[in-house]
Amino acid sequence: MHADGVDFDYGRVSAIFIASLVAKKTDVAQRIVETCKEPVVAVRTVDGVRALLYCPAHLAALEVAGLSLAGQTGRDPESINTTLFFDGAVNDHAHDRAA
Amino acid sequence: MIEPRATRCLPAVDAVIGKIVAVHALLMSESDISPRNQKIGIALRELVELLLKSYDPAETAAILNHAEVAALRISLLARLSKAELALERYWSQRFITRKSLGVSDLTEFLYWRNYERLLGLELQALTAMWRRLSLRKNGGIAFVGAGPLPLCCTSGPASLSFVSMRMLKPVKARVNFCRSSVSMG
Repeated sequence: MHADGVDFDYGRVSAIFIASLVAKKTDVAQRIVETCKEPVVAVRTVDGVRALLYCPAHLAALEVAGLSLAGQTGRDPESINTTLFFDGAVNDHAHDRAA
Repeated sequence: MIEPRATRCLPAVDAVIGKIVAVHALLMSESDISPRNQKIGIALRELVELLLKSYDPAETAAILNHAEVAALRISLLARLSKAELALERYWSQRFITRKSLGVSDLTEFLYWRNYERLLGLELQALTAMWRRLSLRKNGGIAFVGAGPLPLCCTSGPASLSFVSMRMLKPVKARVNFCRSSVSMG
């Protein structure tokens, strides 16, 4: 299926990967938190000079959206991106919607 | 006499700044920014190779805060985004015309090694934090922002299963391009 990530209902998924090129990462994160109970979210980003290839994810904004940083990949000389892993707090609102 | 570090770093910093300015100018002047345009293919590969190198914080700051680089960065990112779309379309068209297609074919993709490394690092990180994550059984995986060549949708779930993360139920991907699209099966 194909849908806009900002409007999609993530209630049926447990893990979500967000690509580096996604411009509205925070909006997508907010939608995930609204619609998915206990999501695991992987956000691909860049650091250092690689911010000249992609727009980096804004960690603080993702946390304000309701995600909690659980870990991340290490920096690697052969990989352009790094990935931040988040879990969402138990979201009763999303749970109620799913029920 | 030992030169200050900032002075010794200048050639590396200058090389990156020079490449950024040149690639931006090329991307803005060329109408075809797909790999069919050899100039684009070479320039982007060289840019990626240069930016994959390691730079210390002072060098990084000197590059990112350089007035010319800072001024063109937003425009560069927008054009690079379009170039990536063109790159993925080019490769997906190459693959789609084949009578059969296996994972070994996908390794021909120019940036396959980068994808493979990233997936490996992600699996490593996920394995390390596995017990902390509360992943629901039988949930699907959504890929937000998959392009015309959804390598992570095709190779990712198989790799996830391989490391016995069996609580995830991989979903087959069918993809169209949209900057924030969701792909699921």
